[in-house]
Amino acid sequence: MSDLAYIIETILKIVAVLTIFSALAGFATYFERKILAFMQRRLGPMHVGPYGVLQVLADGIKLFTKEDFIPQLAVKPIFKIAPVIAAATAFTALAAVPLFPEFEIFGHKVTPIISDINVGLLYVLGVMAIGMYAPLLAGMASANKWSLLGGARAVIQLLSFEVVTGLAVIAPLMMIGSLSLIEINNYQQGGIIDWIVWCQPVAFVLFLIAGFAETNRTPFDLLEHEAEVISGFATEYSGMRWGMFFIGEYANMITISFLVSIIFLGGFNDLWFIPGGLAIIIKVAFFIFFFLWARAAWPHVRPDQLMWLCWKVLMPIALLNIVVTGIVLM
Amino acid sequence: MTHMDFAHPYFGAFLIMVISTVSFIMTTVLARFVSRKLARLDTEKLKTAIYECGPEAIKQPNAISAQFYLMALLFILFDVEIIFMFPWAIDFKILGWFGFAEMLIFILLLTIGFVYAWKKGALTWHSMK
Amino acid sequence: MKKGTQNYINIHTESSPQKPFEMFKQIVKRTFKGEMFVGLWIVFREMIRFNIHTIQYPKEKLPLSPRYRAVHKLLRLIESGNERCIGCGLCEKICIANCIRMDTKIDENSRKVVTEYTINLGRCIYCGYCAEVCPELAIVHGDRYENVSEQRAHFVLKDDMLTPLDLLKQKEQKEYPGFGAISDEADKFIKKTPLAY
Repeated sequence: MSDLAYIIETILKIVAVLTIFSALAGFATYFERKILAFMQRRLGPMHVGPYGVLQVLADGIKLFTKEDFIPQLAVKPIFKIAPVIAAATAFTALAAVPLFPEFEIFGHKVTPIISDINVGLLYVLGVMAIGMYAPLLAGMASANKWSLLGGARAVIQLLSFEVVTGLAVIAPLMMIGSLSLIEINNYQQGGIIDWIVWCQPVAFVLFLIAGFAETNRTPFDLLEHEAEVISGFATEYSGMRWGMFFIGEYANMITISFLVSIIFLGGFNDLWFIPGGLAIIIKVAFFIFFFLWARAAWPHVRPDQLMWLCWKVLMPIALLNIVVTGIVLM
Repeated sequence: MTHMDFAHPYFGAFLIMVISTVSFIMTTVLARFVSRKLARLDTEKLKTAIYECGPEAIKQPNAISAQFYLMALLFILFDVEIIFMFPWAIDFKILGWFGFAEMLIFILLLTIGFVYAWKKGALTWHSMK
Repeated sequence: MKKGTQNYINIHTESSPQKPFEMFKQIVKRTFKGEMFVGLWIVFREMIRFNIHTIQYPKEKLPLSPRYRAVHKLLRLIESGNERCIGCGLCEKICIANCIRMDTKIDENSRKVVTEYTINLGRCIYCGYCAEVCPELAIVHGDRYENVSEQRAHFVLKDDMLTPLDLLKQKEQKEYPGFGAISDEADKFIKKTPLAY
């Protein structure tokens, strides 16, 4: 394989990931509205297209043609770059996530991972952490107290829960001994019994909770809590710039779902009669559904409760989990 | 197989960063262009002003609670700890009892710091009364 | 229980824990009680049941009670086609929103006829007194509740609900300059909202 073929293959993969996941983010909004509506005995969007399927398209047209508007006192370059950071980091984080098992197309072996990094997990967590700059910069550049408060909340929430994510994921790593997501996946090859969730249920729950916090989903969506801080860091945003925050949020949601599925639930290994590619789609779809489900069922928490939960409950539990894992493994 | 410059594992990650950043910037530029053509442009004074319910805000208070900074400081402490723990966790089985005992001591030291911060009330949210 | 003694019910008030350990115990109790999962189950159950309560308004409408009070109707006698209204003016008197105005005269057959009849729907509170007081059942409330319009002036010129009165063509409608009615040049003063419609 020559350099050129490699580059073309990589670019094709990237374009596929960008387009498919942008579209998925769009459709996730449709599913979110529908599922939330069904859970509240409503119908959700019904008017644009059959059963409101084309609502996504209508929203896209609306976002695109809306007046591009920057408030008077905002710091313009930073205000403009913040949503790009949100979306770009969300997609960059997907680079090291193996999306499917290897497959062959026209006799050419394709590994559906954009860059097979041997510290893949660390890379994903790190790039998702960089995504934190988006709400921070957006909040600070908007020159608005709601945005500033939202940005500050975003930063402490993401920072605090990054500690929990890191500590939670260390315990399974001690068992596996590799940071590559492909090797983590291969560790669980032996079917449902080998899933790490059975050995590490505490780490699984901690990682899931932290995942909710890192993607700003409902029990912890304090940075966009309408009743308190209008729309948080996105108060001054409209049109496509706001849409990019949205795409970033949903792409992050998909990334976290992939991570949870790969680390704890056996990834893309074959499950009984289900082929691996389908298995991981089912798992990821379940977790995205769970995100929406939790949004319909659970209320918000207060910021101080969130900090209490993170520092005084989850972090000690995660540390204890590491120590216990170490003792058991020894 | 010969050595390939582009087959570096981080090449894809770098490329997706560049492509996604450029494509999203292009999207904003395109959206700006389209909206300039199609949307009503209006630079009324109250519209370009800061989002506020009614009054025309000249300047907004630009200070946040010191608690936020305290949390960020705590994060630095514990995130460094986690970064140290990652390599240890990978080589956990190789390092054996020695590494485990060492990490226990490390965790113990950090727990002391954590308990200190807890007792000092750094982890509780103080209201600004 | 003796007569005259009150049966007080003590509302159960749980004292919130103060000590750290008690707070911890409360948290553990609440976490493992499974209330969170009850919430999850309830919304999931509602999704499976698919018992949708939405009424897609412009397509489907709720049935109205016959006693629903919306825009008024003036009725005629079925046999002769004459107006039922005898011009007694009771509705004008009883109207608490002061929105009904009527004018009568004695015609060539020396019968009292109604020449003008207007209801300012912008002021009308749809209390139903006019329909209740009418001795001839001439004015009743109809079921037309979709009286939306672009301008407030339309809510005075709502004579299309009074169409049984053939005498009142829309152009000949004359407003009384009384309290609550709009002035003659009201249209000029209407400022368009910035949203173009």
